[in-house]
Amino acid sequence: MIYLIGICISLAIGFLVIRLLTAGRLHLILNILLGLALGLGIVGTTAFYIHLIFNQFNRWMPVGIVVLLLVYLSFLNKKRMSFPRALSRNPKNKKTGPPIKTFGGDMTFTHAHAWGLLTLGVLAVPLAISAHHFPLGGWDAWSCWNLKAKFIFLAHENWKDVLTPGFSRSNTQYPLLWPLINVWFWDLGGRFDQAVPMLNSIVIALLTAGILLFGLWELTGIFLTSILAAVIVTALPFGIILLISQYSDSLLGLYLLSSFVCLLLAEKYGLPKLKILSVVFLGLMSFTKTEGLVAAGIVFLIISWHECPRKNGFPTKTFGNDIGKLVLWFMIAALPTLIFTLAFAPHTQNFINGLASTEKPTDWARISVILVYPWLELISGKWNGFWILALGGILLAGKKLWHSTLGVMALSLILYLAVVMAYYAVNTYFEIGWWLENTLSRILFALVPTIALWIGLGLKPETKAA
Amino acid sequence: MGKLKIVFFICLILAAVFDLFAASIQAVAQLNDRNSIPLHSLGFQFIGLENLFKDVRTVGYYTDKDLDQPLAIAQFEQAQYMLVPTVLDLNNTQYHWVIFDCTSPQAAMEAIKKFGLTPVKANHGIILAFNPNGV
Repeated sequence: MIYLIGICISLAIGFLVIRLLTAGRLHLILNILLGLALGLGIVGTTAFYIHLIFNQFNRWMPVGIVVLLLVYLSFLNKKRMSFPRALSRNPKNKKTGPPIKTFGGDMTFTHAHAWGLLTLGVLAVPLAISAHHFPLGGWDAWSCWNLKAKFIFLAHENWKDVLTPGFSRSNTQYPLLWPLINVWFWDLGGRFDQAVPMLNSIVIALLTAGILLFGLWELTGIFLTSILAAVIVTALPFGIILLISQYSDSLLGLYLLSSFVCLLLAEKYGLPKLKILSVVFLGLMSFTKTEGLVAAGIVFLIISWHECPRKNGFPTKTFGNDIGKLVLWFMIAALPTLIFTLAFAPHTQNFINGLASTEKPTDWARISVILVYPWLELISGKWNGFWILALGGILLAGKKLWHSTLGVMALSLILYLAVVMAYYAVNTYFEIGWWLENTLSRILFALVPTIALWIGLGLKPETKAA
Repeated sequence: MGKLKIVFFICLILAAVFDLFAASIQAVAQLNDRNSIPLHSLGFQFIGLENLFKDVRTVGYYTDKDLDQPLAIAQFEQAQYMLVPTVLDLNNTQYHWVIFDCTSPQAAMEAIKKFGLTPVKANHGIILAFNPNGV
């Protein structure tokens, strides 16, 4: 029950923020899904500031701050709704249509919406059964993520014990958003509850499926493809195990997907404030894992380049206010990452610079394994042919995937994977075969929802001019 | 190109159906699988010790097991997870409380005797010992 209250508070705060940014022009279901994703990030960030920065290990402080934020946002939304607005809306003219006067945005609900929600309900069943079978999650849940969350919640001022060298197996340099989201819920309930990370992992998985389904549908108008994409991504048995393992990779995948969905919706509906939300999701993603930080940096730089005003194809020297706002909001959202990295994160114990080391150098044997293994991973049976399907989709979609915002997505994914592969080559601390076997599939799975979105958009038929 | 797209969409439908079918098989197997002990139940034998360690910041954790073996390291990490916020200092017996997790109860008792500790409690092969000279 307390957990549901936490979900409602997180949802409400995220929903109100998006409502403010979009003036009610986003469909209600997408508003809810993106709202909950954002809300979870906000509560986790609040727990970071209150517990770790201000050292307030009083359970009511993080909850109280979020509730106060909620009240303030409600007031702002009410104030905005009281301004005169046009009551009519031309559904054919989405780009320039005025805001509609309903609180929840576009509230049209068709049979297709019901099928979409039913799909999420069906996908929830194997997720819930698997989560119940592994209530403590995967290895890295109880040796890393939930371990850190428990230390923050139970050890109070001594929580930094979990960052000592003795815990180097727990990746002490990793950021803390996922643990802090769970800590916020424990603050609300007043006690440690193993069910919280288990339930949150199910919620994050369903949010990813829902944002992919309804986001792709909103952007392409093709309902069948959207449902199929969500099912293929979420019902993959190997994927289900990863989704309910209570790892931060799921959160990374959710925020990367949400960021691109917001960017694409901003362009489709002429809602520049959704671009702010897009970079906010990137900022939150930077606080999920070190890989999230790398991905956030790469994606933000590429989006900024894409958004730069241009003259004759080259960026102009003076940047408009839009870029400044994007940079500002990205920095605000990524501030916890900056503070944690500079003030708390210990130097990583699990790193040997293979380019400088004589004992464990980066050699051609290591590089050749890195070049070959990923292809074997992509065709392995656990993916049920997903990557072969993806390749088929890429070939069918053709050049469209490499232009405009889709090109931004493609470049981001390629650069991110290139950096990851380079890191595998340079850091010779771990035996490369073992390391790839244990980590590459997780890194790839976090990208799968975004890849599905990218290909789904590329396959959208071109609309013929009237 | 149109025919290729139709073939592709048929493949998508088949993939989705197959994934749902495979997920259902996995879910049914998990529902019926009540006898296997998931890896993380290794930590259940430490439940209860957290009440004893309520105001204790660090305790020792002695083991003669090969920590390169996944089961051994999993048990240690599970123990740590269960006993948070108390920190388990691996193979350090200098603390007042030391947990002995050895390959056999006899090996544990021999180690306890060797270090001059007093066994206090035992549970499924895990022995808790007290070090009167501990820090």
